Amino acid sequence: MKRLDLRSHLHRTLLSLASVALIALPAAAATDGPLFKDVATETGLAFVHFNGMSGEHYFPEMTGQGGALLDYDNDGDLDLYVVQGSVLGPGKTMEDVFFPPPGPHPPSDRLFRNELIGGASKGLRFTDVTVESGLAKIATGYGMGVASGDFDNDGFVDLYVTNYGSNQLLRNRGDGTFIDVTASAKVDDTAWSTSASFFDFDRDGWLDLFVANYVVFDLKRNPKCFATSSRRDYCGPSSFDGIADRLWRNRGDGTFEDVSTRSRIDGVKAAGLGVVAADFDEDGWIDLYVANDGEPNHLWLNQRDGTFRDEALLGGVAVNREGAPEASMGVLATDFDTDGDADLFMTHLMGETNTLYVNDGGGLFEDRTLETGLSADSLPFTSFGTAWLDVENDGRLDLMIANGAVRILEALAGGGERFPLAQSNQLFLNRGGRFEDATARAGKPFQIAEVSRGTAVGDLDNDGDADLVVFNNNGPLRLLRNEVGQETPWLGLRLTGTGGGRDMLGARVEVLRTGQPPHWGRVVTDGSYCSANDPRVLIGLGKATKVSSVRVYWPDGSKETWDTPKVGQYLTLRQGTAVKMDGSK
Amino acid sequence: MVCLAVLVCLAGLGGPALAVDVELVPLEPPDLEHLEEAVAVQLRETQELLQSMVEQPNVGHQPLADAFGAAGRLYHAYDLTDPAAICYTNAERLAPNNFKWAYLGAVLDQAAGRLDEAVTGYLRTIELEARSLPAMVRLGDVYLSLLELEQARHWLERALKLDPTTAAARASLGQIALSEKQYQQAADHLEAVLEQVPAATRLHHPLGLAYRGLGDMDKARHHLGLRGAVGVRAPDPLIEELVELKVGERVFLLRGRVAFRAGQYLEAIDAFQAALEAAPDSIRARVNLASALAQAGRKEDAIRIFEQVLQLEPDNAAASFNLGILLAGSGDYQRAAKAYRTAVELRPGDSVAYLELARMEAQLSRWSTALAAAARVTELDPASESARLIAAQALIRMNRFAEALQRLEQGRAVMPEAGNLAAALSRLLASSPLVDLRDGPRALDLALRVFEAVKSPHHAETVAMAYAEVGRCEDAVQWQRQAFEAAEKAGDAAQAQSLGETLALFEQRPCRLPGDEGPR
Repeated sequence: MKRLDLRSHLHRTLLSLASVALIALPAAAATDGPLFKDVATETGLAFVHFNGMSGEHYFPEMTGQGGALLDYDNDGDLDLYVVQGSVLGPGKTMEDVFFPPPGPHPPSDRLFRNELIGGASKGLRFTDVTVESGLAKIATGYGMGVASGDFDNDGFVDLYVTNYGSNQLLRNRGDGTFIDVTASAKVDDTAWSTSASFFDFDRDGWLDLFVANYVVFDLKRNPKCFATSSRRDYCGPSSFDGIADRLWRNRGDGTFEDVSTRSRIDGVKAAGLGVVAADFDEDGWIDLYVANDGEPNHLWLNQRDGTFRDEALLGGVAVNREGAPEASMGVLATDFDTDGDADLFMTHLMGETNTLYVNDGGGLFEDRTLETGLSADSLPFTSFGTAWLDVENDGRLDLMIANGAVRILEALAGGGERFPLAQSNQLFLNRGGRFEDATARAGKPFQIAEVSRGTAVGDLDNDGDADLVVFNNNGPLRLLRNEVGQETPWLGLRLTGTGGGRDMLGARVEVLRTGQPPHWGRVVTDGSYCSANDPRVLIGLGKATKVSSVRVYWPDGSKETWDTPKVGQYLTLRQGTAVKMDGSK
Repeated sequence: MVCLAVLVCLAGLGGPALAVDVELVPLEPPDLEHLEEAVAVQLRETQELLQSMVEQPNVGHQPLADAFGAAGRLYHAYDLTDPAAICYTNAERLAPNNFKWAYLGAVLDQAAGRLDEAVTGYLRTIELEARSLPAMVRLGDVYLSLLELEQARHWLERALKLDPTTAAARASLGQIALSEKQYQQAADHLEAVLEQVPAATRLHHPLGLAYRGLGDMDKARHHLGLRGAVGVRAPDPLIEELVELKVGERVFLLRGRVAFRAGQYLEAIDAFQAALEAAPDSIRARVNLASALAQAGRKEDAIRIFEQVLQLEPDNAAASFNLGILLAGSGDYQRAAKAYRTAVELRPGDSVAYLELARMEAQLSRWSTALAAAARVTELDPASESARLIAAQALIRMNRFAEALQRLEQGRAVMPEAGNLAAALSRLLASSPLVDLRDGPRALDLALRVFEAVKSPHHAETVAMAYAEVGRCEDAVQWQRQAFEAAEKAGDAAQAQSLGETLALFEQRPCRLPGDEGPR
């Protein structure tokens, strides 16, 4: 049995006994003002991504990257882990690169601590703690993405970093530092990995790990590809062989077992970019959906015996409605229509639409992209990261999409740009079944063109609305603070387990509102592109000012109800502490 | 910025005032730096032509419209969509009754997601050219994207009325029905398209989804399993013509390779020659051209071009290898071996080149170098049966029979199903000059199995040898005679003579082959 860190134990106990007080920041924004404001620089998030490009058009330099929102120090606010690149190419040095990094040398992934609670400043403020956390020395790979989850159930969230090169499992020691336990945990993957997800596929209470792998790319054998105009361009995935994905089962003793073959996950090789874990067919067991670049996607349905079966074709989510595979990048599994099941949204290449698949509750999906108005506006963009968030807390989930091309944009290339892939991001507001393009009033960050890749969503200032972090390739990180949502009633929930009290990834919550249909949420950190999100469930209540009860469906199949929670605050609901739904304690 | 009244801005130059009374959009020509030289030249010439038209006093609307249209099509072909769109706009303003410019502009709008503008352009196209099938189908598809299903249906049905065989229109009607959850209607449309165009395998997917919607899961799975990559498109000559406008080494190389793969070598030669004209220093164009010439039977020309390539680029491994193949085919083994040796020096991991080198060295009876080359192939490709056979042959020729036997045994262990290895092994076991290496019963077992698989005179002789080795002389004579007669019947006099000589040996008693010079 693990020895508990008393300080953290005390802290968690406090969090679970008393709800976290609302940190009500003064509402400065009027509803007709911009919806978001970029506050990265003013809050100390000085980070510029470095992709190491030197004119060779190496494929990995333009595909990354993401980051994670996580509360690594369990102080009740979201900190930020950002993936970084490095010099790329045999024999290349910093002298060769086009855009040398402004930050520390050699570059490494960065960890920014949120000083919102308990810090010197009461406002949103970040401190770069990369060096003291130990990450400056160990997180130096050519980074792609990151997944978050407490794999050792000690109550401190850990990280799995995917790289072009060996991946890394970084265990949070609970004292503000991380240690690389990849080798001892036996979860290394030297293939080019992209997105990953922690989830408990065998319902044993320990988080397992899925890693999406992309293609075989050798820096020493870099093929030359060209745009239609004959200009040198980046190659696409069809120039390379896809790689099988990996699944590791958590043994519960700090090590993992590679079950990729036994589970049948590695039976196919494809260019995987995105992954989400959710119970798509509602049988109580968590499934997987993998977004592949230019090849059919996979819907791995959990067979409850350690194996998975790909039902993407029958499920209607392998290819688009015309039968063509698309270049799937980012993916979300979210109940956007609040009917209780997980729907799928994924982002695609310019000329293809992004795609919204609506779940019938049994794992059969319908492509409703056209019908919801999300089709035409996506055609001019190549999209990667994406997030469902209730911008105005009106009870309807809106959609943010991060864009950036993968093939040169002639209009930029002709102007002499050395990385001519920049596009602007988009915001769509849910108007009840149809989406309205609200990019024009979303704020200045949505007017600038950058090469955006990952996004992460979470309430960084704990004011009750969802903020966004955008990870730009070869560009600055953006923190988009929501300026409007906190005006409207909301309820925030953190769902934790017994024992260490980790976030119960995969738990579902049904919020019953007076006079309105129930609102569903799910505890997830995966989704988007190469990124990890706030595990808390944030519910915009719209006109409802009261919640009659909250029902939680835990991953182990048990259910609990909490009655009449007070709104406008974050509550921690700990498994086993509420009245059971069958009435027993 | 829009140039008012009569001024056209082009190529960074302000043109003189024109006798043109329409408002034209200024064109900022694209930067041609970093484009392939032939492409840049083509674009530059087109731009200069347009510029000269602009500068002509009293230029008429029609020629200027044609010049803008031609430039637009060229930009469009190279995916330089911003200047292409401007050129089409200007062409349409100058020649408003030419449907082409409205149509091509609408295609650009559709691709860029400017769907309202695309609708306007296609409607204008149909107004000018009432029988424009591609415009109707595209308009229907755009309305479908805009979820204006009634309009979409109207235009797709109109296209079908115009030409009932327009499969693309019917496929889109199937999509509309799917969108409306009218699954039976969708299935009917899509079944009809697939009956008309069975190769359109992609449509099995929406058809499968239609059956899924109808609750027929067996049919759904069946059709989803048949999903392929081929869709349907309405014939679209204006778009298809754009491809032909493109020049440049890469474009021609691509065309040539497509033709080459299809076995259309004369077309491939034309394309590779065009690539060479576009890029006179191009090694790739030369290598491809020589390969196509060789396939077309013009081997002397091919050899000449490969030799040119090697003069220009001595370390071109592909050219060395191909030259070797051609020289070997023409019986010039010395030069062929030299070419192969150069190829393997340049690409030490190329097992195919090493194998050809081994063959050539064997052909020249240079057994030690043949053995070395064959051994290298086995290192690189342990599954190469040919390499193991050449190695065994070389060892036998060098009287290293035990090593030859060992190599063949090793090969059999790696490839137990390899028939030629079994044949060689059985022959050596039956007739090795080193009598101690012989194993008659095993030789007989292997030889009979080989003959069962391939009934040739050579394999019949191996059976005869094995019978002789085990002392069954009558059987040996019978099998050898059978082999001899088969060779005679086939008209192979040399083989028949050799088989006849061995037959004479078997007819003696004892019939066992002598230990010092058995047939090899």
